[in-house]
Amino acid sequence: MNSSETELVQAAQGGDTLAFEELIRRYERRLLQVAHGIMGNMQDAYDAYQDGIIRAYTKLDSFRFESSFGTWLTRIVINQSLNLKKKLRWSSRLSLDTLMSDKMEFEEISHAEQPDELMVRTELSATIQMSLDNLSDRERTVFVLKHQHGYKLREIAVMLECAEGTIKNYMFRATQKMRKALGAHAPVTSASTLGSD
Amino acid sequence: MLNSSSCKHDKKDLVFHYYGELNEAETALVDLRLQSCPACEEYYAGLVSMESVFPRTPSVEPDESVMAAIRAATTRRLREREGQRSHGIARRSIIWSVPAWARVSLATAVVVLAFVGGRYSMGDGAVPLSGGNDSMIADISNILFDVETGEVHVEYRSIGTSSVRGSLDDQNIRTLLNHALTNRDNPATRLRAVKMLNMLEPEVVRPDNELASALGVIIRDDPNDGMKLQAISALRKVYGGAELGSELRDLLMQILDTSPNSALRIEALKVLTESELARQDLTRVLARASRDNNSFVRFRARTVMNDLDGTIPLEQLN
Repeated sequence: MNSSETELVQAAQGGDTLAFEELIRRYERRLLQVAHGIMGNMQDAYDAYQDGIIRAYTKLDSFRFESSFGTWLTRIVINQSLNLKKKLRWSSRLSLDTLMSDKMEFEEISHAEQPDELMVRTELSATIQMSLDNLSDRERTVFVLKHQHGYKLREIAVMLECAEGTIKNYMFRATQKMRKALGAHAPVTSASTLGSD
Repeated sequence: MLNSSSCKHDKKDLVFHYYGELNEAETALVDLRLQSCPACEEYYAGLVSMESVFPRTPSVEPDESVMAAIRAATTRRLREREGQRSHGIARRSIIWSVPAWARVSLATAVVVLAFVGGRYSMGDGAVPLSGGNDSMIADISNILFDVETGEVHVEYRSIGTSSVRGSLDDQNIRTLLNHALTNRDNPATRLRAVKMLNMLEPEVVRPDNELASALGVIIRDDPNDGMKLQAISALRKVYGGAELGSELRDLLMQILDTSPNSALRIEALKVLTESELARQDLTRVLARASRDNNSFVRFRARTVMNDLDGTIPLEQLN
């Protein structure tokens, strides 16, 4: 954590809301994207994100500089997302998202597009979503954090408060499932042209 | 060529190699294996090609207007919490200065009060709003629609978190929906409200000027075309073929005339042609639509013209 961030955290812990807002600004986009990866839609992601920020604010005193502020904040938003997901799953009430036939998110159709392009993209997006839905919440979270956000597995272990070995198992299982599910949609890649990460 | 099932190599190494989780020595070993084992090579190729379907970047990139709205809503909630947090710190220091026996008594009293209070506040969970006044509503957190009962369930925060459930004819529900539609700080709630209206059967909704006007504001001002599209579609449900007000009619005509988004023009045309338009307005709409660069808009205009069975002279359309 750099010195300016440490100062901001200390100021926020002292009650400076503007300092806290400045800290949030540094991570907001990524946090929202992480929440979206876990929740699968923007509306629930927004709820989880906002509840996570409020929770972080109320729990700010418990931050002891043992990890980076970003990791701590991400952990809270992840937990909030997983809790909300569980709540929604167990809720007997019907969610709008599951009832809506058009699952287009408001950010996904924000630009004028040709109907055929939109259709292909929507279909692909639905396939990815379905594949992700087949993962357990933990597998999905680990996979999204690694595949889409590039976090190191040891960082993910800190965020999810799990042993690194456990995270590796989640990651391997999730990748196996995703590889299998998306394999049919992927173009054939020549093995000789492969490169490493 | 070996197939994947006959290869006994650990595929975990391949996954962690692909995601850059191996150290140099481990990476070198896997590289060697990839050169000598066709099954591992094939497995690795599957990982690489997965990336072309599911890119290794976040799947959403909220634009700045969405981020600004989210930021504003979060700031508002933080401001509300600001007082609570400082009170919380003060309260905690008071509690710990009290002797242990007194803390136990205090805790017991809190539990009893919570139990008694809970019994009286539980009821059916529906808390009526006072006289349709929405000034006390701080935030709407959820809007749900029960397809079996046709009831709408809205959760909102006033002094505490409350919820109300009822049909769309219920004035409380309409007030809350109107609040959700006009709340500029919360795009997610706005979208939920619009989607909820879209789920209703047209005949279920009686025309409502306030809701229609709120939808009109979204159609006119919202920076997001997706939201606009949902709002125009919801307008069809709110009006259900009745006469549109002049402002909404002009707004939809303007969209038909100027919007570069064909989905918006198509939806606007649907609403206009399904509502009770004056003859000269309908003529103008059809004339515009018949020259549209989108084939579906032109098709729709032609269909309406056919339905009218030539009651509008062709020369008026050109």
